[in-house]
This record gives sequence, structure tokens and C-alpha cells, in this order.
Amino acid sequence: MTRTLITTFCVLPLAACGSGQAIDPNNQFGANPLLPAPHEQLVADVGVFETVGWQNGETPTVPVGFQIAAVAQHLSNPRNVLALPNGDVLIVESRNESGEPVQRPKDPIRDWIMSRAHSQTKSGQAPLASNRITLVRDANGDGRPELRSVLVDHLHAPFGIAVLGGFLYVANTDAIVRYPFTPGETRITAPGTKLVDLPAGSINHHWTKSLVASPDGSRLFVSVGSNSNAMERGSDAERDRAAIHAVDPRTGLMKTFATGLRNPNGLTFYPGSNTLWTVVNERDELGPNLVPDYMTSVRPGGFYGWPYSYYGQHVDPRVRPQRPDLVTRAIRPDYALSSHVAALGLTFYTGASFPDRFRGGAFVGEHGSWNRTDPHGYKVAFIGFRDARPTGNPQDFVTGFLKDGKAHGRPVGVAIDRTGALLIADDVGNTVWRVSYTGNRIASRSSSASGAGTL
Amino acid sequence: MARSVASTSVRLLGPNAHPLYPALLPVPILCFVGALITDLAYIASADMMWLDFSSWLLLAGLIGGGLAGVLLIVELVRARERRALLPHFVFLLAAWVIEVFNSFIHARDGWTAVVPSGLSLSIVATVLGLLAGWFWQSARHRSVEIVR
Repeated sequence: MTRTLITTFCVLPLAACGSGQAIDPNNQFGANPLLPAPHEQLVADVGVFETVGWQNGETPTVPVGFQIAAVAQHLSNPRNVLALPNGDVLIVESRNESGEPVQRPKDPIRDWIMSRAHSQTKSGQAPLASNRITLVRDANGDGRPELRSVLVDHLHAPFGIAVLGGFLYVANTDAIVRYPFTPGETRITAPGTKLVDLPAGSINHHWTKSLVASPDGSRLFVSVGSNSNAMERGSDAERDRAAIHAVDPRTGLMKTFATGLRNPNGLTFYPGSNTLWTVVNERDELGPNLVPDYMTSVRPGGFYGWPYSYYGQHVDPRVRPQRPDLVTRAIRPDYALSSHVAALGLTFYTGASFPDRFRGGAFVGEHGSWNRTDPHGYKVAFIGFRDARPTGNPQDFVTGFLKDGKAHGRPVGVAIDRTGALLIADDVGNTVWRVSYTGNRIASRSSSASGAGTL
Repeated sequence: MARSVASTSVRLLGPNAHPLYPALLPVPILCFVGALITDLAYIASADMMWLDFSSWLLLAGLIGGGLAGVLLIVELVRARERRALLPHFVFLLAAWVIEVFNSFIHARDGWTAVVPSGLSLSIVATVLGLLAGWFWQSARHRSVEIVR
């Protein structure tokens, strides 16, 4: 059990892998990713890693000039964070308890592989209570919280949260629920009121529902991932899925905003604009270097291909009946993040404490791959923006989640707190991390020291 | 020989063998034929239900065929007249190995699980399975003749 589980079945004589998709993964960043031909292996590449968590004193790695410290530890599967203007941090702890029905012999095998990559408790230990929102208060902004409290409990696999107009909106996996909430409160006792049902059901494959309020507060946007990899559960299972919907926060009226997004997460408006951005997990089992996950602005009414085509108008050979009528209007996403990185979190840098080059750029929480023997993701990447458009290649910002073939943590949701520090929900490490910039503090300290010397 | 024809027919597999093998042999052959039919139904309808049927039929055929194969190997070791059963054994083994690969092909998420390689393997394995059944019957027939 202590060994890494890297399973490669390529030794099977008919597998014929290795020949296809020999491309440099670095060509799969940005606006024009290199897309090799689909390569369906006899058995898909699988690379999942033993989850070990963090020992005392161990942390992810940050660039020179930054420091990282835990804001909250011993959480139970933290998947998302929201920083409030008063310094409180809301941490969404979430676990989808229900398994998917077995439709084909491959399903239990896949479920077993996935559970290996997500296990967080040493064998024998009962899982800690999850499905709640924990509030952490850091009133003086030093990154060392003074108070920790369970804000809301007994939720149903929540992921997205938003605070708007005296309410806390929680996107459970099956409904948006709202609670009366004024920032400053540490415990919500009032029962929640259901605003609107969300697609869930017995399969509920991609279960995380991301949530954000529009800048004017008139609408909520909620993302719903697909119920399958490439519609292999049938089209009926995909009703209102693989989409972003707009919801009226007063009436609960839900309208579809954009479709064809396989598993959109990290809904965020670009600062100072009405442009909604998302990161999307693209489909698996077309080879280790296909399809790139992506970050994109979302056009109202836009169709982004899933399941019929990927990355614009590249037809997925597996999906029948084909829909050339839809494929012709499939929008090519803005920015590729490389294949299978599993981007689940997105936030734009709105703070002032990081150096100038970070202003307006994007931090992306990459949960990490399973459909590659050579892992991708397992880090927080930074993508610079110029004129509200992404530029250049992603840079590794927070790394070290995967070390020596063991997963200490896996980053999911990201947020910027009021001091301009980056918060990262780490669901395997059961920690929320805070990355702050120390470069200018060291510089100012040395300048004050030299100033003292002149006295 | 005071034995009836029914009991002499199993003498091929040793005088004391219980005819469990003939009860299991139809399982892989029928399942492989069934998977070919549901493959054709999937191609005709593009309804994932038929692909699911194919996947389960292949799995059932592999389990049934695997159990039968173990029995057959045991019987082959004990048999007096091994050569009569050899064509049957070779065809059944070939069908089973092909369906192992076919199961992996059928695990793909949609059309490419069947078209073209899944269907091709289903056709080949079905023909081999039916040939295995044919040669079983002829071996059995011969064994009755030999014993008589």
C-alpha cells in the first residue's frame, strides 16, 4: 500500500501505444494548442498516486519572495474558498457520498481507480464530517486565524458559494440553497431556503456546481458538469448539463447561459468587466495529449462543442449521432491549459500586495491528471493577462503537491483575500493554504535597517 | 460394454467424468453470438443501451468460457483421446483470447467501441466460437463411434 500505483497496461500486445501523440506537452498552452490525432488505446493510460497528506512543517512550494502557510488544517475535503471583505474566509468542505450506478463492466474499475486518487483517510479511520462550510476569521490579516467556526452544516455535496444581498447562496450538488447571512456572523442557525433545483440524479458524474454573482448582483451564474465522459450515458442523462445557467437570485428562474462545456468550474467575472470566465475539464480516453483543458471567457448563448466536438470544431469520433449543425457553431476556447490537468479553480488577481506582473492575471487550481502516466497539473498555475486577454504560457506558481510519486495534496478552489494573498483549497491535504508576498517586506525591512544605520 | 449410449458419450473425458463441461460450453458461444447481434443493433440505432449489452455479454462469455476452459483443460489431461478434442480446444481458446481484447475495445465511450475494430473482433470470435461448437459435436460423435 505504500507504493505508488502507476498502472500501465501497454505491455498488452495489441495496445500499440507510444506511437501516437508523441508531442511536446508545452505546445498545448495558449490560444493555439497543438492537437494530435485522437489515439484510443486498448487500455487508457492511468497514473494515480498514493495520497499521503502533509506532515508537520511540510508545505507546497512557492516562488522566491513568497511564503506559504496553512490558514486551516485538519479539514474534511475542502474544495472551495471564498474570502469576504471583512477578512473572514469561508471554506467549503464537500464530499459526494453517493456512488454512480454501474452501467458497464468498466464502471467499477474506473470508480476504484478514482477512489485511490481521492482517498484521504488512513485505512481504518472513519472519514471526518464533511459537507459543511467552515468560517475562519483572520481579523488582523496576518494569516494566523483567531477563530474557526462551522458556519453551516449538513449540506449536500456543496461546491460554489456566493454572498449577495444579505444571503449566503450555496450551490449544493442538487440545488441552490440560500441562508440569511450578514458578513461577521459565525454561525447560521436559520434553515436554508431552496432557490432552484440543479441537475443531479442517480448518476451525477461531475457533481461540483460552481457559483458566482454577476458584478451588478442581478444574476447568479451556476455551472453544471456533464453526466459522462463523452455522452456514453445517453443523451437523456445530459439534460441541462455541460452548461452554465443564469439564475435570478430573487425568483430562482433559471435560464441556460452557455452550453457544450464538459465540466466547467471556477466561474469568475474578469475584474471591472461583465465578462464571465471559467475553466473547463475536457474529455478523457482520447490519448494522454488530448484534449487540452482550457480557460475561456463565456459568450452568452455560446456552444463550446461537448460532446460532439472538442477545442472548437474537432469532431469526437465516439459520439453518435453526429451533429454537424452544432459543430459548425462550436466556439474555440480562449486559452489551453494542456491535457488532463483537471483545472477546477480560477481566480483573477485583484489584490495589490503581489508584484505588478500579477495584476489582473489568473490563478488556476489544477487538481491533477489520471489519464496520463506522466502526471500533469497538481499545481496552481499563473497566467498573465494583458488588456483582459491571457498572454504567454502558464507559469508554475504553487507546486510540490506531488512529490516522489506521492500526492501530499491536490489544489482545487482558489481565491484572493482582502490582503491580496492567494488562498488555495487542498482537498487531499485537507488544508487551506495562504500564499503571501514577502519580497517587498524584506526589501522595506532592509531599507529601514539601512535607514536606521544612517541615523 | 454394458453402458448406455449416453454414458459412453462422456467417456471421451474419462470414464468417471461428470458432464459439467457440456453444460458450460454453450455459455461463451451464446454470449459471443449475442454480443455480435447487439453490436449490430448498436450500429443500427446508435443507442448506448446496445453497447452496454455487448459489454456485459462479452464479460459473461469470458467468465463462462473461462470456467469451461478450466474444466476442459482438466478433462484434456485426463482424456484418452486427446487429439479428437484438439480442434475444439484451439478454436475455443482463440475465440476467448480475441474477446478479451474485444472487451477492452468495447470499454470505449461510444461509436469507436464497436466501429470498426469491435465489430470485426466480434465477427471473428463468433465464427471461431461456432467452429469450436462444431468440432465439439464432431469429437463427441467420434467418441461415441470409438467407444461403440
